[in-house]
Amino acid sequence: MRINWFTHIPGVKTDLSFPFHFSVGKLQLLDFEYWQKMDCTFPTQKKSYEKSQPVFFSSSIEEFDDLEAATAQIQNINNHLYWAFLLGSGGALLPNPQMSCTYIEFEHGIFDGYKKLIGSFEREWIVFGGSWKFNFSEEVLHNISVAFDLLLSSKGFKENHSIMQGLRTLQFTSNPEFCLKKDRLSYFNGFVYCMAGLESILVPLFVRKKYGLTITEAFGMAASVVQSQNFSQSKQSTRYFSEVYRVRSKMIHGEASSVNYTENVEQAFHVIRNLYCNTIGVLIKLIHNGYKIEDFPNLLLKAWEEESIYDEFKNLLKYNS
Amino acid sequence: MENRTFTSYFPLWGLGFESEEIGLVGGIVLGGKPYQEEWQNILKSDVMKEYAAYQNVSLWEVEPQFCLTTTYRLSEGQTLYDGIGLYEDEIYNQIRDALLALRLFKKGWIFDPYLVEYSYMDSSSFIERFSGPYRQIFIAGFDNSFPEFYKLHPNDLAYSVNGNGPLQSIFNLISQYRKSGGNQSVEIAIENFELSYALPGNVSWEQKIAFLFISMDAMLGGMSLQFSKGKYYLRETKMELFFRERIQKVLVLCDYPEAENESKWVDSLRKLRNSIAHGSRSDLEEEAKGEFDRFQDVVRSILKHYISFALRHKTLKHQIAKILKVEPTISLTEMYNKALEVSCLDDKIPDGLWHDA
Repeated sequence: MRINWFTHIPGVKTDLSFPFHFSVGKLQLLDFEYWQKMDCTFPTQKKSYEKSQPVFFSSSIEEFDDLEAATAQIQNINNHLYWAFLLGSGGALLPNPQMSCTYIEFEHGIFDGYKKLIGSFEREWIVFGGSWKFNFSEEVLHNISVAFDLLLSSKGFKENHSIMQGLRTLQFTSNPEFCLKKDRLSYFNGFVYCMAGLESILVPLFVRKKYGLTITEAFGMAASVVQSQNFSQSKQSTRYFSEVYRVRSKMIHGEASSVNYTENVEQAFHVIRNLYCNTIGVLIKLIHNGYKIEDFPNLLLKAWEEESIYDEFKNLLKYNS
Repeated sequence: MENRTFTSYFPLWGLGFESEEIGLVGGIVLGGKPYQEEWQNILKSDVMKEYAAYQNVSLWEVEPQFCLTTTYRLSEGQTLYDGIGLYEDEIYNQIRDALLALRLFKKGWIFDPYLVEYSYMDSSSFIERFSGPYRQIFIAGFDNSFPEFYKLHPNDLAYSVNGNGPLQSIFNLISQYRKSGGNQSVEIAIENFELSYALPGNVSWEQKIAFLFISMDAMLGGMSLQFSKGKYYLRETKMELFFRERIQKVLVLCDYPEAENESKWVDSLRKLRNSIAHGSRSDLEEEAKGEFDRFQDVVRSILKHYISFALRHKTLKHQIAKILKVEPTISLTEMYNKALEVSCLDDKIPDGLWHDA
């Protein structure tokens, strides 16, 4: 049987014209009438739905006789899509699409029908727009598309604890329970959790001891290598990333907290989340290209010191699908 | 002159409360089920109509849910929106503290009403509703995937502002702590304890129990001491007693049932904690789910005790430091753990350490 599915992507909007094609599936809007055919709820809410402009990812798979197995495959592709949205957007606070709705449309002789996977948001974010939305440019959607391809074609990254822990951290810190205080997005917890995850990947204790560096120094060096475009840029941005690390220290010592909230925390949150996404992307590419990533923190600090190693490192990141 | 007021309503969907009583949770926050007519006004949203249709009942048949409420007076000429503008931050603080007090009071799952839906209504029944991301969560009803809901008894509520009900006492403790200016380690402990109430399914049990470990770490300085030059330290403070003995002492001080057994059990969780941190086993989800409620209950007790100590520390830091023979500048976490150690080693707890002499 042929199976089409439509997954609502909560928190996303764009001013671009639809559909937007990925190598697998596309982003599209659905007419209210089409959505009604699949869901049958909120029949009087056409205006709200049209104002909300819910964005759906749609795709299809063929020759599947077992709907359960097809559902598992759809959920697997949806997971990769969600991670791609997180990584490609630089860590936008997007809730997991599993919390909204997926509609599976199957055609099998006379037994046509729909299977609905309804998450804990129910239809709130589809019909009424949800609590927040990010407007994605063509460039961001292109980055998401590249990340989606990388994730779908890369083998082995799911066995890596640091990568999966990183994806899980980006994921749960995007949950409303985590990032919504009253009716505002809150960045305090997200910053603390992303920073903790990054520290363990970029500057574990053994590497700091080996080089005799403080964590603030080592963090600045490793982060600048990941985020820079060339060797001299990495030297210039080291101090900046060390300063961002100091925001963490201020939080630990109570100078910046969820009570005593400062704009610095919000800015630092975006920097760290973007760095976390890029670091995970780098690790996936390294695994994809056959590099043993246990030596990753060492490699970063060596790349910071020597231009030839820096260039070698950046060459390792060239992605060949 | 007309006596005009406005009331905020924060329904706690799923909370069990088999009574018509309305009582104080704490501060100015009341708890109880609205009258049917009030409830009808709160309900008349598109989502509630959908809910009623889904349940195959009319709106009038939707049973009132337990709500947290606050009421404020409106001056002459003030509209509902003026009132909201003036008091919404104060209401938020009161509701946040009431929710924490309920969660610290006893076990059972409650979802933050700010994440679902809340409303403000003035005395002429003009209503303004605010929806959260999970506004529709109750539409399909609550199946087995939800944790066991909170159950509240009318005796848990207080019936006088100067009363001393168990829930009201916890609310007062939180209020006093907030007024004292707060402390970062307490904030981390509270935030992570509250994060452990995240909806299962959206957040793994592994992560939910990890929040509890972080909460406990903020209070007890981790499950292991640092060893340096033949001595053990919690940060900069020299220690003699390990984690298990200190946690046993807190539980004894909290009158926790079977404190010794429970402390041994919590100590045995370090394996699970390390496995979660290093991702070293694939069956963690089931184990974390199995241990979650029992562990959350232990963290709940420690957190109440820690907030109480933090408040005492705020005003009596120097006296406590003198009793413990430590510098008053050490962190709250270090001082708390040193206090537990001294209480363990000294049969007679020194006067003025946990309570006024």
